[in-house]
Amino acid sequence: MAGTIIENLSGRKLTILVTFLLLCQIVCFLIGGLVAPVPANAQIILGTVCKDTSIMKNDTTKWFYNRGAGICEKVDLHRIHHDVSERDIVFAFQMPVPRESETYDYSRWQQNLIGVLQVDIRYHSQMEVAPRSALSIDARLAYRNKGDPDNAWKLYTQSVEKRVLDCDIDIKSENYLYNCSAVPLFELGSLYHDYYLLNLRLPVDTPDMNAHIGHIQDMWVTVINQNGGFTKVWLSLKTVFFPCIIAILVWFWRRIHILERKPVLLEKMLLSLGIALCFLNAPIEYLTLHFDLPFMLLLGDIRQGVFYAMLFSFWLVFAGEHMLIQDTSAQSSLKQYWRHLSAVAMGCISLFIFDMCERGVQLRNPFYSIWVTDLGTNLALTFIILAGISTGVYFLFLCYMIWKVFLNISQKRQSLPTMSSVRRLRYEGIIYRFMFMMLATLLCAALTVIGFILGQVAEGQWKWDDNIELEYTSAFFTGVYGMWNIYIFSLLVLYAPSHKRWPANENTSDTQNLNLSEEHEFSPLPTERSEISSLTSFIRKATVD
Amino acid sequence: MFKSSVFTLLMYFTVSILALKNVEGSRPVLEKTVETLFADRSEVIHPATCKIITSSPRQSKMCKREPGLPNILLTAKKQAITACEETFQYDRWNCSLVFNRKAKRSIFKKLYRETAFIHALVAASITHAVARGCASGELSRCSCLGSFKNASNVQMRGGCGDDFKFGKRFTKNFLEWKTAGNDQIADVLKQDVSIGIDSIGEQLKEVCKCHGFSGSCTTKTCWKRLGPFNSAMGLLKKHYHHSVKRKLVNYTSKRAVTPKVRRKLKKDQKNLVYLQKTPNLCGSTKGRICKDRHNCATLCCGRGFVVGQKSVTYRCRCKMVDCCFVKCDTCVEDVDFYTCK
Repeated sequence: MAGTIIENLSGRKLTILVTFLLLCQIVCFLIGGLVAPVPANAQIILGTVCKDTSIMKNDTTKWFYNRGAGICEKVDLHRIHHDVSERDIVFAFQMPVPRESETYDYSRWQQNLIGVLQVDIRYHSQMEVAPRSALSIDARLAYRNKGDPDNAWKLYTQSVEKRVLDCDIDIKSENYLYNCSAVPLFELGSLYHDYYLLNLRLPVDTPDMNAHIGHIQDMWVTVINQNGGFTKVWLSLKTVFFPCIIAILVWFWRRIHILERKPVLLEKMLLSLGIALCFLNAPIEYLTLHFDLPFMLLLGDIRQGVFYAMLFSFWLVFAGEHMLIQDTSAQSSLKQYWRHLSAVAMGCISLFIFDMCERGVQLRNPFYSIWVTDLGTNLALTFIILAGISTGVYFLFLCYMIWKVFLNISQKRQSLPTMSSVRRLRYEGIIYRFMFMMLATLLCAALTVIGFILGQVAEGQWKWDDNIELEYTSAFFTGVYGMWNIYIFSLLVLYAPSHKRWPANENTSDTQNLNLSEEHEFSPLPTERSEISSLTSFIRKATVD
Repeated sequence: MFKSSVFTLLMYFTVSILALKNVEGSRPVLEKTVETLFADRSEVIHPATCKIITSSPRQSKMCKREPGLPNILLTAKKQAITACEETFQYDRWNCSLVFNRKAKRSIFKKLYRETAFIHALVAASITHAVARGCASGELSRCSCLGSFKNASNVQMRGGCGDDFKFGKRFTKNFLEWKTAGNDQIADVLKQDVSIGIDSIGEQLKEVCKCHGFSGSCTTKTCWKRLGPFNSAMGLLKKHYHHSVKRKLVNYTSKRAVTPKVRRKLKKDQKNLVYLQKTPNLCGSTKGRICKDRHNCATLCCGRGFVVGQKSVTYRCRCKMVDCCFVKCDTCVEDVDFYTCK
């Protein structure tokens, strides 16, 4: 009799394995909490108002900045200037801002840069700002590297963008400011250069352009980037997990190849799940330390998407393969699940299209945002809602299937007392372990959701005493990441075919040893030699009974 | 060996003489700084390093280390004075430096309600200006407070804390808050300064941005945004009206406060505190312009008011043909105006 390892593993060994994996899980959580800083960090930059005296405003070799040699001439917007026209105003943001008397530069470990714009508009009784007024921005981004002269800014990208300002005001009094919502400005997928400079202008090319935005007093740009320390911890985790999963995949596939039969669907699914995880785990972020790879944000999304699509499909097939209603003779294939899987595919494709529309276009123009035009907003919402509906349908399917499985198992359980005691014990064990796996899945999913909610509710840091501080957000990320790795690792181990009752050869002697103790626990059942999961075979037998 | 000990001794003497001198200045730096910042309306540039104030040794050091600081102080000073004059335009005390136009009755002579308010105002203004200076990069020594991990550099650890936290610490350092003394006056002033600084902190607004998987909120970063100084000013004015008078224990000897009194003082730490009652300001409101009839009733102390008519020019039909300046027409209109009798 042969089946998967989980069916043949003694309770003691299972406990040891589970304890070991739990310990790994706790280590992952603590690494994030104790070693890594917060995942991302925001720096707020107040724009310096510069005077652009040049006649041609579209000269992209002229840059305005407020630190270093060749700084711009500043303008105080509180005063009325007669010599400055609106077209001469440039808001300059030089990043990063110096701290602790160091003009520090961006490190490539910081991965990406996201800019958010906030506009301070002063209330003016003569000129109230409409709740949703459009702001046109001529945005230019330049970069400079260490060792370059202070004025050697080179154009990175340039674009004229529209953003919708959502402003309201509590106290309508002169000199008070509107409460304007923050608008996304740009997203850089790679932080390749050392210094960046953002120059914003508010063009007035047409009479209606920027005419209803009120009296701008200040512009603030908040730049968000991943923390170098977090990237280091994250990449180290990936570097550890990647070879582990590869190794266990190789081991898993070799085991299946030793068998005389072709791999069954569940095993194929497990293999693809493992490969998807490897794709997610591959520490290709190391490349960003040497090359300018702006597509990393997009690629990260795709990698996560592929992994989740695979995981969701696996759950479906896993539940379906234990549904116990399929034709015993037919080898089950993916075709049987097309209806269920189409929900997953639909969700993934709509999310992919959305991502391509947002982050894909941002590869060409970092200032692009799909949310600024009405058409774009509707399109984005359509795809997101489609993805949401697909997820809902998927979970309905999944719950229905799991409910069916439990129903079937409890039905079959009733026929257990009629069996011989040895056989009954064995099947009860198998059902128990199947439930155990279901429980593990549920636990993982529940922990992820609870962790996420806790992260939303609680403030970033937890303090136990003066010495131990836990960075919860990072701990959540590394914890969840580690958890799904461990989950799939254990799936690959426990659902690999067991070599028990299998003609021993030198290759499998180690597993023989592993399973030696169980040799005597259960007397083999007088069945034909089947390599299919014994649970499935048991169910099939039971349906025959 | 001997040489070095002589040197140390000499150093010791120099330091102690300098320290003595500082003590001889009699008034703590806190009071002096606030007074010069607020009272000196001239644009005189002092030879000292901080340019707009005659600075203490410590302040000079701070100004020397941070070249952008004098400019920030100037901004803070202007901001405080303008905000004060605007807000108290129609109050009995119109932000003047003397009571009842008598040169001898300076508001800094004793600790009046107004003195307490000005301390809070100046502290708030410095905090705000410093935080802005950090954000614009004008100040380069802003430190990373509240960062969690002590990694080797800024890029690796959890970034820098918000600029308000630095502004708060900086203002307290600059005003030499900790060394302001232990007597009752110092305690009161310290509390007023703290309240001023915190009024900036209360205006901070948290803003968040989601930037996780496909832009979802799996990763969310929040930051605190500095509010405008005017709204802090509104809060400070409320504090001014709700300030409490504390009983003077012993003004002349500046006796240290006993623990029992200190405990009692703890109770009203949320309010501005002053020690002397403001003299009646009704004598000085003659000829003052009030906003409306209701305002005149209080401002003119019941003496009544004259209603006059004058034509005023004001900005009207403002158009936003540009981004950052308001362009308006000038209109003329006859309006009533009220003057106290």
